[in-house]
Amino acid sequence: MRMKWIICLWVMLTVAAATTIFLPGSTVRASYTQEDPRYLSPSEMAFSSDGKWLYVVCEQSNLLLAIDPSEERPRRAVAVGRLPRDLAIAPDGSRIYVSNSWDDTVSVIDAATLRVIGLWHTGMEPYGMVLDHTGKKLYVANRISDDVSVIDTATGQQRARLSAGHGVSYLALSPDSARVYCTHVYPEIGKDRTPSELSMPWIGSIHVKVSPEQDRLPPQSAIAVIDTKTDAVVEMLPQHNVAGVFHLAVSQDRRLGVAAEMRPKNLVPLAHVEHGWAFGYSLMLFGEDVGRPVHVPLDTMERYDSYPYAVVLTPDKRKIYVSVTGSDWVTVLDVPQLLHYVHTARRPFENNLLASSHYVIARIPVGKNPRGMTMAPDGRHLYVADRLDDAITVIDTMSNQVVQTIALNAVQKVTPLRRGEQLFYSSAMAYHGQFGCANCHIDGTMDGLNWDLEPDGFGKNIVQNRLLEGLPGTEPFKWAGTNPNIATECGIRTALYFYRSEGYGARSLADLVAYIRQLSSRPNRYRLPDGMFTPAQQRGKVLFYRTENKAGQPIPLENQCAFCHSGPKFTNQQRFNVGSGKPTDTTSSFDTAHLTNVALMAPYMHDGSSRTLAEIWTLYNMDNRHGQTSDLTKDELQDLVEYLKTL
Amino acid sequence: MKISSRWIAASVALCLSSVVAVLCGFGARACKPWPVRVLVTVAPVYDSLAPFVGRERFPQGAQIFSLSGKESRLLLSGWAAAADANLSYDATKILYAGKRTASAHWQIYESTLDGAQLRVLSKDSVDCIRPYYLPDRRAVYACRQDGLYQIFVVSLDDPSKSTIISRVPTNMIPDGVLRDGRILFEAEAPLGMRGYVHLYTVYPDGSGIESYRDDASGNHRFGVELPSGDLLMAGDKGAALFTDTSATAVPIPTNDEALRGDDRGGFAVVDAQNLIVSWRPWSARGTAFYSLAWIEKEDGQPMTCMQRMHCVEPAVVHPRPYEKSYPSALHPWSYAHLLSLNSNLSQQGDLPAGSVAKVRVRTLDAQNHVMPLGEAPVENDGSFYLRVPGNRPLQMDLLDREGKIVRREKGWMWITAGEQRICVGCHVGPQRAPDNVVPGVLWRTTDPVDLTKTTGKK
Repeated sequence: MRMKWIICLWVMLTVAAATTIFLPGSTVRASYTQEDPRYLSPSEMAFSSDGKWLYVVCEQSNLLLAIDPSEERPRRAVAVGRLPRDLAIAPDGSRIYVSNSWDDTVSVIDAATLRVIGLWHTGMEPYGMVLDHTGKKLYVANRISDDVSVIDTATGQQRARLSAGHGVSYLALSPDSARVYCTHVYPEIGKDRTPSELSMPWIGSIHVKVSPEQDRLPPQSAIAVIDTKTDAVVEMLPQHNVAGVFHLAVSQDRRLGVAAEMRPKNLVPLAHVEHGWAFGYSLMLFGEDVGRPVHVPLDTMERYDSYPYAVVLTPDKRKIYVSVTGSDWVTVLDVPQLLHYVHTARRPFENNLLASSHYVIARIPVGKNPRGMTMAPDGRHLYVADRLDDAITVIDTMSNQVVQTIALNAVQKVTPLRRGEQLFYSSAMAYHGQFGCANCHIDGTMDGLNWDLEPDGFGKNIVQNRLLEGLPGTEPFKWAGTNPNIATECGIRTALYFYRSEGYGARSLADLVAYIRQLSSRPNRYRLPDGMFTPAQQRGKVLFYRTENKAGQPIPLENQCAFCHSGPKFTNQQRFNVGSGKPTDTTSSFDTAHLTNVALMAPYMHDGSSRTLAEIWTLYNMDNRHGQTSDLTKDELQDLVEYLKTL
Repeated sequence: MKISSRWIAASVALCLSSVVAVLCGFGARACKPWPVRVLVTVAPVYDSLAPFVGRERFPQGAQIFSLSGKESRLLLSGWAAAADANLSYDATKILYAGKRTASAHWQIYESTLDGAQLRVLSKDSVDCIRPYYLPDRRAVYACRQDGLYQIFVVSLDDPSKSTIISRVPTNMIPDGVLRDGRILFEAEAPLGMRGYVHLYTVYPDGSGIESYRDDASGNHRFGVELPSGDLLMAGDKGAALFTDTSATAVPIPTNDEALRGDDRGGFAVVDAQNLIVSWRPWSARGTAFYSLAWIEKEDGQPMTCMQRMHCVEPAVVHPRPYEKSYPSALHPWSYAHLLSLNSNLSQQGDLPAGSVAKVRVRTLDAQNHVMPLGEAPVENDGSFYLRVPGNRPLQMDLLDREGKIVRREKGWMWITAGEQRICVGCHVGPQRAPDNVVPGVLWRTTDPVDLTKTTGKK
């Protein structure tokens, strides 16, 4: 009941805010640029069913804009929830749905009045959405809960939650509405791991041994296919050695599917960057046109299509457009040439940097951090959201030329924080533009991978990548705790061992550090709204703070959870040997990880060898050095995990 | 000293010609005045391949002239010879190779465009040529050491700090600096062997020496990076491009003589649309002089230069953006690490897994005598991991289980002390990105097989 009131209040406040700021006659341009310092950051777009309005989701201003492409009518806007990510438009054009990723809701907007008329619950962190062709079912990808909500648009109630991959975020509906295709941004952790069972009598059969080889398996992803009749996942299209899959599209004849993906090279030492040593960028093609799914590279020898994001197939299936967010361009592929190459070229070709010359026909420079794209109803003009330029680029698909740039924000001032954000998402600093911060820290988070960084020697000191949110107060950085601050982390170290190219200048580095420092922690979904704990969480809290074991004996101070994991971020910022070191590590002491939103950070430990929080103790704490846990039952460990998730 | 008298005569001739505005003789076509200021090396005799066979490029001297409009003037006076002009990023200073006297060695100098603030950057005991600015207050040039031109990098702030960045037994002559920070240079291929002159790259710290492309189609010289990122160079069949989408040279489609099938003496990029070419007809390469042409898109226009003189190595006088500076991540070691991910892979044809059992490595001693370093096991997946002496040429053989040579490296590779280098395979070319897999050798050990003992260095 209380929750309903909070939601109602939120709706009222947002609607009131919208009507106050955007009263008739006022345009978005005139209002927020003078009164609201926030940038719009357009991310996803769609045309109204009559083609007269272009709806634009603006992430950082929590707005949905309605733009007349001819710019004859003033722009309109409506406030939605926090950090909106995607939109879907009802087939009859009457409603617009916007996913509010930090509120775990969908705003329902009346298209005629552009007013919020409803707010529906989703899973954790809703991203991409599609409606079936009847408009009766809304599919919402929930990035944190790793599932897809199926929402009845008549009632707003979730009819099903379908598990669809780690970090499921982007959806595409087949033209016949029979299938929904889902991609996920984080790899499945240890999916192919086959641990052998060990005999650990105090726990039972959950103790297993994992060989080092099992910790360093290639990342696995998959496209989940949902049957819209049964609302069940009926197929998984595996993506071997892929981590980070974004938008996808399906051709009108349903014979060709295309997904944008990253292929990290995290298993080979990062000794240099040239020759595609850090990342490969490709499209996964699937469907009858190609037979067995294939990965076709986008890169060339000295130019990389860093972070391919949105994919648009032209209605005639002659061309594919890919927004390349780190490279600030849109790549154009000729589909007949592409299919010819796929059917005639010698395989494997996913690491052939010459392959793309056979089918990439243009790279069209656009604004900073191009994200979502949508084809105009005329089938000729492609609209590209330049997220970090607050602009929309219009491309004529006949000539592949930019024909218009629509500025969404009258004020062009770029603040230091905005510059920092632009740097974070840009790949321009790395050698040959191969990658940027955001490629490993997807949307400011992590990539779920462990990497072999060269400075320590080949095959040594394998390290897991960490979430970047809420960093102040968690220093030092690196798992060995050798970097005292973010500037050290992002400064010469990044230039020398990551980018292998000129580093950031002093001003750029300051801007970048400022941006990273202000990345706040996203809402914790595991806490109850009233601040209370569930019984399991409460029991876990007691275990977290206990000072005696179950036999009543005192637990040494350094072996109590709350000793190392203390303070506001649950780290005392010290290094400890918790027995997690591996033979390939050159140190046995590691930085105490902060625990804010620890539920999101899998895999765990310095080398990512624990797939889950529970594995930290069930697999890697045989001698109780990482806290006293050998006296805990499986249920008690689960209670501890439930509490940790609330931090 | 016959040569000296010829030098003096040639120098006098060059200086005299500097006081007269000259017209060009470019077939029947009238010459176009210069819309931009250009520096050019002018010489009565020019042999661009001479450094590769131990001869003098300008046996009768050379001078740097400034060309602007219809006028030409001697840029720097008081030199027995001067050549190889390279402008600073702000176009206020110039690096060049010069001789104070005809018998002196070529040295690297820096001065303002009017010759003021002159200083020498190289040591005077050997010939040094072809200087280029690096973006981090350094310069690169080639000096002849033990009969071979090798690449040196010098600090502009402290010219006493010069470093030789390799000692591969071959001539290495810089062509310029790429926008990614690599030094582009010419050397015979395979490295250390007599063959065609090809283009190679190296980072300014000496690491990462490799062929720019694995294109074996004749000579590739005078590489220059275009604003598009493509590399224009002179091939045996005319000017050609190395694009980032092709491992082989792409002929430039043109109707213009100056780009099609001719002999060249250098390029200068004006902007994205315009280019200056030094050229002469290949058919008349024994008699004709190199002259200059302005290429706009695909059309050429003869340009004013000196009559009956070679006009080579043009350089446009205008500010230009800095290339990216490359941060050296070399470790403070006398040795280096070399990891091959899969030596079964080769452009000559992949070998079946498990067909390579060992790798044999050798080097050259100070007298260029071949010296074995030892052998190391190769894993089934073709991977091996070595510690080798740094700053040494290396050559490898792949051996099967019976010790027979499966593949033999023809030339020499170079690995710099402190370098950690990984190859996808043996001779797979820059177009092959690595597979994402932990190489088998790193499962067995993270310690390389130590092959440094032979030289006693560690």
